[in-house]
Amino acid sequence: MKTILRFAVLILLAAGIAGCATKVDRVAVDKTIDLSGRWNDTDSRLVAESMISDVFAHPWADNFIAQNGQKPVVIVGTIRNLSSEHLETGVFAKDIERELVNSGKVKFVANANERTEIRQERLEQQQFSTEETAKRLAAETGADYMLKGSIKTQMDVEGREQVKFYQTDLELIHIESNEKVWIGTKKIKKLVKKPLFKI
Amino acid sequence: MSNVAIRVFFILHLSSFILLSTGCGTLWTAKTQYTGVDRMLARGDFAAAKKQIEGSRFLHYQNKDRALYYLDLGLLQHYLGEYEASNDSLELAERAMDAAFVKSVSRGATSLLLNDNVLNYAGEEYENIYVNVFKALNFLALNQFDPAFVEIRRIDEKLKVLESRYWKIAQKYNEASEMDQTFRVGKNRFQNSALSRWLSLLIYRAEGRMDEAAIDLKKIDQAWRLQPQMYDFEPPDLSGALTPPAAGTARVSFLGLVGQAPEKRADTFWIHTQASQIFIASSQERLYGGQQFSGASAIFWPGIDPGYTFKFQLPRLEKRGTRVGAIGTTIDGRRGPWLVQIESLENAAEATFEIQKPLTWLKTVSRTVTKGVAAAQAQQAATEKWGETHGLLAGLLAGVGVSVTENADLRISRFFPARASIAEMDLAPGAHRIEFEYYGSGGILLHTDATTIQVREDGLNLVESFYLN
Repeated sequence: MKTILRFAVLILLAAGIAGCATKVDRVAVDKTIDLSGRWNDTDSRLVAESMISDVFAHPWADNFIAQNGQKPVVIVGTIRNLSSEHLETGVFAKDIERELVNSGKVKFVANANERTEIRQERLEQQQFSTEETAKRLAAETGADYMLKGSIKTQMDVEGREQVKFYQTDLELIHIESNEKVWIGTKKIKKLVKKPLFKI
Repeated sequence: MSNVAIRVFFILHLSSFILLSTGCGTLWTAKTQYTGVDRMLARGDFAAAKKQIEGSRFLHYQNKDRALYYLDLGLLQHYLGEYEASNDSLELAERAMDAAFVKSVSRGATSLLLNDNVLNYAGEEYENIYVNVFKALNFLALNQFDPAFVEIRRIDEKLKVLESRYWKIAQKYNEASEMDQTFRVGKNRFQNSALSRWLSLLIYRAEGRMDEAAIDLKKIDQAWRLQPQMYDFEPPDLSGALTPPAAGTARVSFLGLVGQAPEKRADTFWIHTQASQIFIASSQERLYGGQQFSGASAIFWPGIDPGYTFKFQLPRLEKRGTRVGAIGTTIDGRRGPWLVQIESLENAAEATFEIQKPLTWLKTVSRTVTKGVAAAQAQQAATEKWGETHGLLAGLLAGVGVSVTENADLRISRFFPARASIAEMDLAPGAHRIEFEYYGSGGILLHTDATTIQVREDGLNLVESFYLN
C-alpha cells in the first residue's frame, strides 16, 4: 500500500512539474500539424498546389496567348465559404494568386477590395502629385478572366469519430463571354478521432 | 481490520482529501452570480447583468465552468449589441463545450467519487445548438452572410447527430453492466429548428437564391408536422415569404425574443433500509434555493438487509416561461404587424434534456449505491473492530460524507430566451422608427423597445428586439 502511494505521489509531482512549463518549438511551415481536425494551413496549401498543377495542365492560357498575342489577365473574384467551419478563404485565394503570378503565364489585377484603396490613391494623385508623376485615370487593365469558387463540407459524426469531407471548387470564367475555360475540384477527406480521455 | 474496511476507509479519506483540496465550490453548483439578475433583465439593464457576471468570473465560475461563463457573457454581449465580442465569447463557449465532451481522466475519476459538478461543463444540448443561432444573429448584425451561414449549417449538423453522440456511451455502459435489460439513451424529438430555418430563408432570399429559400420554407412547415411535441403552438403564416416586396419597398423582418430559458433544480431522495422495510423520502428545490419536503413513504420489503442509507440528487428542468402574452409593433407611429411565435427554446431544452437524462440517472444511482454500500461496510467493520459506539460514529461520518458529496449538477446558462417570435412587413427604403410593444397576458403593456432602422432596398433588413421577462 505504502509503495503504491509513494509512486502515486511521484507521478503526480512529475506531472505537476511537467505541466507548469510552456514549451515552444519552431517547426517548418510545410510540416503537417493537425490539432483539432479543422481546416488548417496544410489543407489550404494542398488544395492550392493541386489546383495550380491542374490549371496549367489545361491549355486555356496557351490558347489565349495564341489568339491574342499577350498573356491573359486574371482577377480573383469571391471564393465563398459554404462550409460549416470558419475558413480564411483569403489565405487560400492568395496562395493561388501567388502561384499563378509566379508561373509567368498570366497577369493579375487587383481584386475588388484591393482596388478601392488604389483608386482613392490615384484620385488623390490628380490633386496632390506633380503632373509628370500622377498616374492617369481610366487606364486600368481590364481582366480577361475571373477566378471564382467555393469550399463546401460534409460531416458525419458518431460518438467521438468524425468524417470530414471538404470539397473545393474553382472556376475560371471569361468575363466578356461568360465562358468557363477551366473547372477544378479538390477533395479532402479526414477521419478525426477524438480521444476518450485526457489527463 | 479487514481488507474491505481498509479500502472503505481509504476511499473515505481520499474523498475528504479531494473535498478539502478541490474546495467545497466544486461539489455543488454556484448560483450566487445570478442573484438579482432577473430584475436587471426585467428592466432591460443588460449592462448591469454583464458587469455582475464579469465580476463573478473568478469568484463563482471555476475553470471547469468556463463554457458556462462564456455562454452567459456572450449572450449578454449580444443583447448589448457588442456583436464581435459576443462572437468571441460564444466561440470560446462552443469550443469549451466541445472539449468537455472529451472527459478528463482525473476529473472523471473524481466525479465517480463525488458528483458531476467536478466535471468540465459540456453544456446542455440545446445550449450547444442555440449558441450557433446567436452567433448567426451576431454575424447578420455585422452584415456578414457567409459566416452567418456557417453557423446555420453547424446547427443542422449538430441536430443530425444529437442522439448518436450518446449511443457509444450507452454501448459502453451496456458492455460493462451486468443488468439484464439493455440501457438506452432517451429518444431525440428535436431534429429540425424552425428558427434556424427561418434565418437561413432570410439569407437565401436576400441573396436571390429562391430555390434554396423554398426548401427552407418547406422545412419550417415540416417542423410543425413532424415534431408536434416541440412545436405545440400555432405556426406563423409564411405564405408571403417568397413573394417579392411591393414595388418601391423592401422586406423588413422582425425577431422578438422573450422570457427566460429553463433552469435546473435539484430533487433530493433519501432511502433507508430497516429489517424488511424501506423508507423513502424526497424533497424539491424551491424557487430561491433551499429544499422543500415533498413526501415520504415506507415499503414492506421482506428480506432486505438493514442499515443502508442512500441519498442522491437528480437535476430537474424547470421552465421559467415568460410574462409576455403578445408582441406588437408600431412603425413610424402607426400600428405594425404582431409577432407570431416560431420557436420555443424551452421546449427544445426539455426535449434534448430527455436524451441524456437516463445516463444522468444511471450514473447517479450507480454512484449512490456504491457510496451507500461502502458507508454501511465501514460502519460494520468499525463496529466489529472497536465496538458499537465507534461503529455508529464511523457510520455517521461516512453518512455525512455521502450526503455532502451527492449533489446534482445544476449548471445551465441563464440568459437564453424562452421563445422567439417573428413578423414581416414591406417598408419604403430609408429611416423608420420601430417600437416593439410587449404585452402581458392581460393586455397590460409591460415593456417597449424602440429603435430607428435604416431600411435598405436590397440585402437583409432584420430587426431584433428582446425582453427577457
